[in-house]
Amino acid sequence: MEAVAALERDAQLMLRVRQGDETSFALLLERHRAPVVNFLHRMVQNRAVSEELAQEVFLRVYRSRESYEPTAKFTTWLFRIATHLALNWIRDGKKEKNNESLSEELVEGVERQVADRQPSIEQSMIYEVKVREIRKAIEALPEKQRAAVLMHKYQGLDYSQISGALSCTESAVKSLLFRAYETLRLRLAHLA
Amino acid sequence: MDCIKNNKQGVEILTDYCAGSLDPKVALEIDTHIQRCAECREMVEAQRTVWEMLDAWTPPEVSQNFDTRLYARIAEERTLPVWRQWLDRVVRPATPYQLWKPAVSLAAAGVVVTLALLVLPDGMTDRSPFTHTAYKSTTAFKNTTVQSAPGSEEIDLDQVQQALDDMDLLTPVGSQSPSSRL
Repeated sequence: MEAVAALERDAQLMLRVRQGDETSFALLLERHRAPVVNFLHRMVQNRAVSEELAQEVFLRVYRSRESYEPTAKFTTWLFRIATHLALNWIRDGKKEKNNESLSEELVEGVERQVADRQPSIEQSMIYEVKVREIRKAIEALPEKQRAAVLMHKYQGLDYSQISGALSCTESAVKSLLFRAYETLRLRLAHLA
Repeated sequence: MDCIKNNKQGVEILTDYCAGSLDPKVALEIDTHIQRCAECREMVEAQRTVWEMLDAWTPPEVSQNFDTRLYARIAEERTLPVWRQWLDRVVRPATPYQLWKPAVSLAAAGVVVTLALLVLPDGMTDRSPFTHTAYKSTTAFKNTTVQSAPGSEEIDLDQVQQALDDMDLLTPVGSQSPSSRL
């Protein structure tokens, strides 16, 4: 019920944007900025690139406001754009050119996450190794499996939405998720 | 209940169960099942472990100037000429281009077929500029050959006739010609 209400709210906001209401666009941005950036960050594993791609996503949303029709859920449409851009970026091989030092980013993440709890050096190192393994395991997944898992696990999209975002059938999504989780279970078993 | 893993949709159900997205009634049945099925229990535990591990990966916070940069880009785009804005919408559409591919392929095929229908009936001679040029040069070449060929045939015949006449002149009157002697 909450999801339906959210859908209606997003679609209504977008329809208002179509009528020229800039405040509605700001609200949409506020609601979806973090999910989109986080999804893209997990897809491309590069902070600067993920933000750049997220900017492009919202720019395209704004650009197509006049032709927007609420035929699908707004989040499905939004993640379809995001997935498309992320997959294109990965396929273009840009990640090799722009690859930041993952360890630097990782250390930042660790510091930020555990600063309040004052973890020991050992705890930080264990956490760092664990996250590094998770990132590697996710990165090693085929692109579509990766996108499906990230949308399913972190964004909470259902099969129908993921299939819309990936432009494939629901059964294909189930198959992608099944294979991806199976691979992750095997690859991350040693961390359990 | 049979082992869920043997069911066609079993793994999918177990994945939903771990994700907490299963109908409560069905989830209760799974609860009961995994208590007595070691195989399914093992899979559920492994899946839950993966699920929890993935929770550990938190992305960095979004830059504070994200919105400022975005609005600057939007403002910049507004200053572009209308044709350029339109072009951007076409070249970089919100909807993935992949979905357009079949339409683009069909349109391209249609154009090729149309062109072929326009060109082929006239024997690829007059309407196609390329064929037209090629045809003209071929014709010109043929014409040269035709013009020269009859001329050279005539020269050859004259020469033969002349040679025969010369032979007749050399033959003494009253004697047989070489051909008549044979």
